[in-house]
Amino acid sequence: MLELLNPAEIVSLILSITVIVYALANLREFTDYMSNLLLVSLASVLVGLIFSIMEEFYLPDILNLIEHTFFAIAAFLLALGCRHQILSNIRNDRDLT
Amino acid sequence: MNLVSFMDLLTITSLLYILFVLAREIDPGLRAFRTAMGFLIAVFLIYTVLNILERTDIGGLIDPYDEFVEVLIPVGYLILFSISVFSGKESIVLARGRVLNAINAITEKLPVRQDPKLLWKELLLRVIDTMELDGGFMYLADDRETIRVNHNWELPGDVDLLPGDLDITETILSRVLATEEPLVLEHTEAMPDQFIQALRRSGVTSAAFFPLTTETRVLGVMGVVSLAHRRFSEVGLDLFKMLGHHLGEIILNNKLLNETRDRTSELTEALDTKKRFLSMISHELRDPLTVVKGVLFLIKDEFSGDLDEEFKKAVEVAVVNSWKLEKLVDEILDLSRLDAGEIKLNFTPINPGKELGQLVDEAMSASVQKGVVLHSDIQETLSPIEVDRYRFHQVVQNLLSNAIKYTPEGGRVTIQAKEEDENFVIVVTDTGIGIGEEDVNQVFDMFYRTKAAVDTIRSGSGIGLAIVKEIVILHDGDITVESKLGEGSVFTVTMPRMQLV
Repeated sequence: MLELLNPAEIVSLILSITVIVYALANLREFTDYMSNLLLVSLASVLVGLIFSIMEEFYLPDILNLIEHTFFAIAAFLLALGCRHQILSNIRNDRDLT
Repeated sequence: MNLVSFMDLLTITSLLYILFVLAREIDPGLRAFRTAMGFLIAVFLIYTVLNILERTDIGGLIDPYDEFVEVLIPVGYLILFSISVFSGKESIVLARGRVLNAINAITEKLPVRQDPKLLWKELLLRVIDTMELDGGFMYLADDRETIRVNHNWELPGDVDLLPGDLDITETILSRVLATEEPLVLEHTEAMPDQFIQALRRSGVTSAAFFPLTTETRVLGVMGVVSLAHRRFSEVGLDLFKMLGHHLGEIILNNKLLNETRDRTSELTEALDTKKRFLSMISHELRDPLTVVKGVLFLIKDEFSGDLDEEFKKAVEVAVVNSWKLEKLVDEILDLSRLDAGEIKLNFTPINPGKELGQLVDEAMSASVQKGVVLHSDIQETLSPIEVDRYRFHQVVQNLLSNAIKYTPEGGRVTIQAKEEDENFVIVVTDTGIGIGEEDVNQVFDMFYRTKAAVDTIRSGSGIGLAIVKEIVILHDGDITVESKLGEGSVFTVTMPRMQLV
């Protein structure tokens, strides 16, 4: 059964968990909207990776679809955060301080 | 197209949108963010494309690359998070710097002494200019005074910000005064407050109010307004709080400075009037007094044989009192002249031992009459000193007569004279009523009499010691007193032995 596991996916999963732990440890620094979206986006990637591993064992078609859905959510959240970051930067130029 | 491909398409669309947004953004401050985000998007994009290709005929060729790229995705996130953490810290420092710069721009080179209302207006203008706002106002609680400054902000004729019948406690201003915290309104329509509604009717969309605080209390509230919507960030609130404190201190200092200036000018005027009065009154008194004295002496010397005993006694009393009155007038005149710097000393060399001996002899009769022992302890080998002889006599006479006057019968007064280095020192010690601790520092003040002195002897002007001090100072000398109530006093006069004539 272990031979079904893809080493690259396992490494990606471990890396993602590590990065999430790092992000949570620095949660106090993330006061802006962008950082919070970034965190949720990474969580979506992590969930996608978990389904990517699971699809080797159960319901490959459904879990594959869920995996790709979560990657799409992650990309969408990144786009949202990126847009917000740029817009708020433009507004800040006009802001009082 | 199946659902998986549709999701991949969504992913690619989102990623391409991000690349598009990043490509348009040219702010150099976002360079690190752009680079890191660009890396993540590129990796994500390549991974998704490879995933799509994996499902085609060339899937076998793609597989190893796909796995490699997948590992890079969390790395991309890690880089982005790290940038967020560091840029967050950096932005706080930058924001603080901007706050300090703004406060500096508002408060620098303020004219310190000026009319309070002009200062308030100047401060308000600077705040509005620095923040590029449309107008502002200041409410000072003590004076219930409102100052308003417009740029683009015009109040319609029917709008009065703070009408006379408006209860301030029902407005947002009282909330700011009570909490001492800034308050920001991004949309004025959200507040039912009568004051805010007046702002809204004048076209104000956003406004910020902050307290003008000092270390001890709140002086008032400053408000700034914007006709367009303005966002006041957290850093903006910080700025308002710090600014309010700086402005509060400036306003308070200005108020205190003005009060002190007014008080000083009142006191100077009162002092000048007093000096003029003393000078005038003593001159005006002296002339008729000289006539009265002349007539009294004439009666006493020329007609005493023709007078009965009772009338003679009356004339004697009148002569003695005219002497006292003349002495008082002379003292007042002296003091006026000393105060005005009109007295010029005429320095001549004198033999201090001889002069002091004479002065002690003169005082002897008064001490004998009072029953006080007057003891002289003067070094025989005293070198000559250069002083104004008349004023020197005045100093010693005053000290001796005071000592005798305030020493009860059976007491003792001692005068010592000695040389110490380059100085000539006279010490007058008595066993009199003494001076209380609370009076010691004021004993040389003009017209000041200690409570013990007033209780013991009602008559006395409180001028003598003031004149003594002025004369000693004119001789570049110093006079000190040590005393204990009920035990006696020690007056020490120190003068340089040789004066520059």
